[in-house]
Amino acid sequence: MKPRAQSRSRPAFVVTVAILASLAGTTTSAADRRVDEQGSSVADFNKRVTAYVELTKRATQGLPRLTRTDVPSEITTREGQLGAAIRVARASARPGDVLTSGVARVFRQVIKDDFRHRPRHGQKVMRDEVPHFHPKVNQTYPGEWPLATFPATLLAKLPELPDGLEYRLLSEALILRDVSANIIVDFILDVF
Amino acid sequence: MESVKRLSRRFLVALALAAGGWLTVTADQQLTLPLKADSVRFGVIGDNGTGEVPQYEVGQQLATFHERFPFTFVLMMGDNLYGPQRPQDFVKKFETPYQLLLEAKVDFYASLGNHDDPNQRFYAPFNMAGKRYYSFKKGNVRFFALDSNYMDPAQLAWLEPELKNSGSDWKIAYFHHPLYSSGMHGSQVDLRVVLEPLFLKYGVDVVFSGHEHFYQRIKPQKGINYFVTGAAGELRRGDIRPSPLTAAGYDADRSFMLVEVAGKELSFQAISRTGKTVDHGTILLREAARTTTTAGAPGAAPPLPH
Repeated sequence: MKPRAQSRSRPAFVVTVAILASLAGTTTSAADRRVDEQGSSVADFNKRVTAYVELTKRATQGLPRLTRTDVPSEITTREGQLGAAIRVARASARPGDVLTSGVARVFRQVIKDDFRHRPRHGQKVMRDEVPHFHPKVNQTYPGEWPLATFPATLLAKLPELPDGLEYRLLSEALILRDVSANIIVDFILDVF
Repeated sequence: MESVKRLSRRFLVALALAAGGWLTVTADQQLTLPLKADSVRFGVIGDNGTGEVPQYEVGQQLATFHERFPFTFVLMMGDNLYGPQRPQDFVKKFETPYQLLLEAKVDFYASLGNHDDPNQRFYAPFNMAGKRYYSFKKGNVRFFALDSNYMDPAQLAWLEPELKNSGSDWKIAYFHHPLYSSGMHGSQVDLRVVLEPLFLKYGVDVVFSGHEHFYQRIKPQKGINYFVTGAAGELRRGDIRPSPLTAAGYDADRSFMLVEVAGKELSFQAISRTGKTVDHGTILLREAARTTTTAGAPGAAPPLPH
């Protein structure tokens, strides 16, 4: 995780969490406690993301990088090699390893709240061309599905990710996707 | 070996066009652009990468117009490759349909659509330099290719100084999702919330997008001219809904655009798959004039009812 990214994402996230807590009608101390818990979950998530990045660096060391090429097969081959190496290195990975149950609760609340407050057209756009498949950890993102556009204003409410990782929405899930390797790192169900 | 490949691609183009009963050059193929000396000339295509006959026909039409309007590059609005993105798909959905332009050393500058694998950014003929978003300058125009699929804070942080320090007369942004449109998907308000303030603050003049499978010229919004041009491969016939946004529209066939920037004037021509001009006009640089002057063409689609 880049320090720059962390420092930019945390304040917005704390504000979001505080608003959610107050909306829930909890007492001040309970709200404070919830903010602390949610802040800890996010901090833990950032650590797990950093660990994933480090693991993939080690796992793909020595493999040719994706670089500018006239030959399309070089792109697909390298993407496949990166994915295969990461799958081997994370052979025991399970759902929740990166997106833990703690941070999943926070993300679900942020996404549901964002969706609920959108006008009807905004909700339609958010679910426009969203893929309908059940994700699996280490799965190659299926080429027959588009990558659903992630709403810019929702993106600003989630912790910023390092280069090479991105959030994407499926019909019922949020996935964490490794862009270069085109694999699903982890996912959260029931986000709408 | 390379010449064999070229010949086989020519054969594929011919086969595809023959299968589609493609037309020969007709009187419809009129050029309305001024062809001024030292102007910046380019094409615009969007939602093109189907690999099907209509895409090839548009590619052929682009090549035909290129002979009379020698543009040097083409902007791509995304959905460059629909469906699988195997090596053969780059050939079938890009290299073959635009082979004549590629042979004429026309450069393509791609942006990413929601059907594109972001790793397309490494494909050299897309000129993305390995980046999801980038900018480049041609003459007195700075182009900003954005990734509207994933407008994260990092991209916005990059865009603001790029716009501020662009050092160009004209600022043209392009990306997949339209901030304004009257089609099935509709205006991308979420994206507009984050982009429009920057466009206004730093004086973006023109915005091109795709995603909607038709051609639509939007009435200037807060002084910015918006074009939706997402029908160079896909088509959603009859999808432009009556809207006060529309200055002109065409959703009866595939289409593409040709654009010429000369000094403080930008001239545009929207052309159908069969070579018919469906819209054309001239825009003045925002600093030069606050108004847009546009002339309708014979046979052009009239503004749709509001």
